[in-house]
Amino acid sequence: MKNKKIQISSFQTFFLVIQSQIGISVISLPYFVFLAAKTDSWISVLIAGFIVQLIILMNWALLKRFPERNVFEIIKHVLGNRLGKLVIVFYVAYFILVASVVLSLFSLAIKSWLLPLTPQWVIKLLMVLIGIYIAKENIRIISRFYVLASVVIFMFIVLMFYSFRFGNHYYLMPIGISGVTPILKGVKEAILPFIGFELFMVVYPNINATDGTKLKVFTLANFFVTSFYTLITLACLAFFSPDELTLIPQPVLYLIKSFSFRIIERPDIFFTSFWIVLVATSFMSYLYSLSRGLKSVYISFYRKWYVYLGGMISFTLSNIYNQKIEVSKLSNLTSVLSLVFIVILPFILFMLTMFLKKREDIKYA
Amino acid sequence: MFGRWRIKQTDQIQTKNVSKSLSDNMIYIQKSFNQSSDLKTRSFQFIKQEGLLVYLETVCDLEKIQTNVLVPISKLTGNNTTIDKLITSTRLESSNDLDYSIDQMLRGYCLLFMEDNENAFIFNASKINSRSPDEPSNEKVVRGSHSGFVENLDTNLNLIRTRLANRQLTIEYMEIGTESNTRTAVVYMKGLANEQVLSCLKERMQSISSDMLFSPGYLEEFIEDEPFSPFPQTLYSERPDRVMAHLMDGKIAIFTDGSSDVVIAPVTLFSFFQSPDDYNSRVYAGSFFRLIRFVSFIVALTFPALYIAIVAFHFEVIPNEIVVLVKHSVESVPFPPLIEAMIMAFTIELIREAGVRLPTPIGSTIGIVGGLIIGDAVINAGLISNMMVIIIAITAVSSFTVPSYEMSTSIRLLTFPLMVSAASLGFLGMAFSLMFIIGHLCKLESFGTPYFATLAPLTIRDLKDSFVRFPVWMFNRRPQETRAKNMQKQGRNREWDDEE
Repeated sequence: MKNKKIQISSFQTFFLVIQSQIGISVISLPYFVFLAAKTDSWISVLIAGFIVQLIILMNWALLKRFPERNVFEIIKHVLGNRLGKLVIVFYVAYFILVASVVLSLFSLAIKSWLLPLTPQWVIKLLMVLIGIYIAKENIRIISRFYVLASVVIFMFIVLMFYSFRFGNHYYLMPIGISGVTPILKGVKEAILPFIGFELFMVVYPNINATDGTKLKVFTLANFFVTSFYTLITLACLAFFSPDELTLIPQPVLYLIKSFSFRIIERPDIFFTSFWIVLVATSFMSYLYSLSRGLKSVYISFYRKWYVYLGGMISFTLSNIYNQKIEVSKLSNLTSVLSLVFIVILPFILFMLTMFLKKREDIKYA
Repeated sequence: MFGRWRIKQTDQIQTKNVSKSLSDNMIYIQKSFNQSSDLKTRSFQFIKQEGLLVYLETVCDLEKIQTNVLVPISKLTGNNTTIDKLITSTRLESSNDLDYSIDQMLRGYCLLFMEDNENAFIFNASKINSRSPDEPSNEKVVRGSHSGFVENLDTNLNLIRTRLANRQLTIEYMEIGTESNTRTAVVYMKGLANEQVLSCLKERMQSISSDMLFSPGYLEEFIEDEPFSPFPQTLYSERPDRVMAHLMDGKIAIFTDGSSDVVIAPVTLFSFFQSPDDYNSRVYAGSFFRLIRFVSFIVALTFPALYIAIVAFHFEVIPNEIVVLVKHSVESVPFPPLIEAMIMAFTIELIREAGVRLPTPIGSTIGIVGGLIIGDAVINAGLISNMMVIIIAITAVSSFTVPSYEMSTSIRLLTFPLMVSAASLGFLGMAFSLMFIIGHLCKLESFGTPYFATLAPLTIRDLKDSFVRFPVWMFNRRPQETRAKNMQKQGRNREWDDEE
């Protein structure tokens, strides 16, 4: 890996980013945003997408200065070896936490939609196993898998468009009735599902493209995810009445459940199975990121050992808290932490590099 | 341990030179062959010199020896000529290394010793014993070439050479098997085949230290990347046209003496679904049949699992009318659906395995007894539901539509874990096991070439010849995954067509 860097194309990067973003929260996104922003949720989602774009821009500006390093190596470079490694360990802890929250939320959703009686640890174990199986491979193989798995997203899109046939667009009217504060509160809820794009900070040097193209790809991916989320939100808002929406925590699945086709009576069960793929891909992204992080802390082990380790820890962690309330508390915590790790820390790093004039993209003579 | 022992043994053999005395040579040869009964000699006189002809009569064509040597000698009139000018065989060499000469005898060569001469003359008189290149029974096509490879290496290479009259077609002989010394030939198009793949393949072949090369399956297991993968990573073919098409894609073919199967590497999953027939029929028909094969691949893999998951976990996904039917058929069956499916799948495998080894008339009897009688009786007895018999029968039939025998076996094997996971966790189990299979396919590489290529990594341009088949004149470039050195396959065709 030292002498020959594994490279992925920008095409693959696009899917890598969207697959890490779209995951566990896609089925519940409209509900949580709705609780805050009511019928104007879709505006909140759009604004959230815009804010995420700003975050991406800032992170890109940081990464661009060190074209041969990923975020962990930048941290080590800027903060020094000791402090840098400490910060990386925090990053890894954050990734493990997110991974275990994903596991818990996933097993809760499966419990209520597919297998009410199966013990939750079985479901979690399966997810950890598939996560380890793919995440221990190099980024090229992971992105191959992600590109294939993206078929599922397009199925969702088709189904959402189909749902507009039954939608009532008067539910959306009048636009802007909720006022500014609820919409902004909705933005806070809507940012969480965008989490996952931080994978690009880990694989940045592995992308075979110019810096400009990379930014274009990230922007395109963000644009895609924003439109996808807006589409889902709009579909749910139009389909369910405002009173109904406050009662159903997974509105997307309820939406799909209400359809029935000639040979498939309950498409939601199929789509829950497809959704598993989306969850698995974002789980793999976290496993991959944390293993890269640990690898840059202590280089002597194979990366796959760190993947095993990360899988085991997140599995154990997620088995400690199984109740809905605990999980929702933890997921609130992760949304705060993600702000720290994706916005604040990179911002500090960026400022530091600016002041210390550290950069490697332009060679001073 | 064994390797060291073998090296020691080969060290003991010292090169023995050809002696001037005929009897010395003869004694040494007889010792080398352990007084084998098929070692024959014939002595003759050539210009007042004693000569000795030594050959193994089991691998030599006696008539060739007669016309190549004995007839010219008997017709000899003058005195000023040498023996090597008399031998009319096309392949003649002389050597003073007796051991080398003895090894050549095993290949159907005949040795000729002259008294007071320190060289042995080696000439070819091998008996070619091969059947005619008939159409292979497991790769039949409706249209197109009906010739197939045979068990003789030279005939097979001839079939390929005559099809590809190009000086870039390179053949490299290699001997594999420390004891059996099986002749193999690595065939490729120089300038097309990827050098990295080629050197990797040759290195792996040279590292084989097995004492014999029994069949191409042996070879495959020694050289493939992932020996424990359920998927075959090299393609077998008995069809010269298929091998030619692969060679022209920059792939490498390995011919083995004694086997009519040619091993082609590197391959992708999609190669296993192509049949020469696709290109001989019209575009729509070819595409349709290609598509049918992929559908049957998916059906064979998931159909029983899907049924089990629905019956055991998710009855609500099927509409009411079908629920009534299924329920009616499942109700009286004493087994859970997994056991039912296992029994039926196992029975079908039994019938297949029993039918394969038997002569055709008995084989079809087995089919009738197994298929009709068992199937009918098992339903009447109420042991297995109608639905399950239908499902398993459809699965079995679809697994056989895959043109490659190895691939269809892998598919049938993979059905079992899928069924188990579906029976234990419903759709969730299926989703996970399918993810494992797809993940595994993404990981697999055949000599550095991604196995699931054109899908993973996705190259949209190459999808022209995957699920469907586009018209042949549109394949202007070779598929990306072949990593051929010259990607351009053809220029513009059909230029006379104004609308093109």
